[in-house]
Amino acid sequence: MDDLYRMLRNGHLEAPGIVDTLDAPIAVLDEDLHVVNVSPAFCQLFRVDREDAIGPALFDFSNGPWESPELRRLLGEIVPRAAAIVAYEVVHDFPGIGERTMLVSARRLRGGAGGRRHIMVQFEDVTERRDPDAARDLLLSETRHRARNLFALAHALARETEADGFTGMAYRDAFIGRFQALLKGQALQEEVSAADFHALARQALEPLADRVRMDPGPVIHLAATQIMPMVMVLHELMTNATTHGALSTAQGMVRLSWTIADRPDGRELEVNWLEEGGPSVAEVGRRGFGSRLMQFGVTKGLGGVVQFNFEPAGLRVSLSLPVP
Amino acid sequence: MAAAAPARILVVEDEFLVALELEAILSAGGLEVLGPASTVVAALEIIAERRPDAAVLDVNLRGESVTPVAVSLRRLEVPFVLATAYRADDLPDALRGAVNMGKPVDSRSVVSTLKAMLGASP
Repeated sequence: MDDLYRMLRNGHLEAPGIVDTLDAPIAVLDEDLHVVNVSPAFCQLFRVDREDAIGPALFDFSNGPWESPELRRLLGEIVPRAAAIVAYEVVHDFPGIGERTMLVSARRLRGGAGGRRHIMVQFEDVTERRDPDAARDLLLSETRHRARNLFALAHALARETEADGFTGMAYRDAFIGRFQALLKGQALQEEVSAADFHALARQALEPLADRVRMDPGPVIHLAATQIMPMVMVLHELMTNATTHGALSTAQGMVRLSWTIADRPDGRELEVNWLEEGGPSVAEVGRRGFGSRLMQFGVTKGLGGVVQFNFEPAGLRVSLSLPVP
Repeated sequence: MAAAAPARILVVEDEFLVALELEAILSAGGLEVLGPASTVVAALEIIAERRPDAAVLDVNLRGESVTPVAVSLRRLEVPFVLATAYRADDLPDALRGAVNMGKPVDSRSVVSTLKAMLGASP
């Protein structure tokens, strides 16, 4: 805080550029405690746009009033008289980020255009207080956590894979198929340079490479957390096609294509899985499609939606998901 | 006396497979699942719209801590259990002392533990 103070005291207060470079969540207030400037970290912490933050009184901000009379007095009267407050604890339920414990530090700034007196307020989110020495132990526990996480995923797969009415061998093959897709997805997710969708699809559908024809679309990288779910969803589509769909006959095949659509709130990847040459859909019925694993994989894992269209020519699946 | 509606359990979990399994286990146990929510914001929205009777919380949501959700639930006096592989020592202060069902969770004990917690509430 002292370094920041010195830096700002010697610089031009009004220059937004200085506040923008500060790593900590900081708000600069005028004498009436209205916000005149904020750092990017402040916007990130309170999940607010810069334009919305600047202007209102600090304590009206974020579903206020959230100040105690004491803090208001400290900021309103004591700090302007060249005193500083350090690490004053505030507990409040902030909209969008929940209840947080914040340490508030504030200091008066000298200078500024027209001799105005500004106050710099810094926030530190200490909702989780951790023993600093636990940092190293935490790394070890993260590693252990990843291994345990894989156990949890395998356990979920084992439980979810249909057993009732299937032979032991059929269950085992179904489980192992999904488990291998899971491992493949995990491995791809951990690669430093994440594969683009084309490479990912190629790897996921590799066991049936000669039966799946890809009409490549634009180069697109998924978010890291979408990689494993995508591999599993593709595996489900492949398994369904093999047991009930186009790939259950020698002549049947699958065409995979994709496009990117620009939407108001970001880009969307639209993947099309088209089956053709397989048994008539009317004969096969809709057994096995839209399994819980596919639904959860798409909605929770990918954050997207999936649609199944049973055309006379074959099943058409369209998958839509937001991408970075 | 009319049959009571099933208790509503908020599930907060970011891994879709684990969320899927939890939903299956809780539904099989006669409980209604709210969510699952995979982020703090999603969980807080569910709490605001449909107050849960209890909750199962994963601790680490893709790098985000579930602590703000736990704090909100405590204020509303909604009981919760954790489902995490983290050991007690590595948990944030706000979560220490909460019952941890572990990861993977044992299907029988999570349902019986939740029902016991719900039975204890007025």
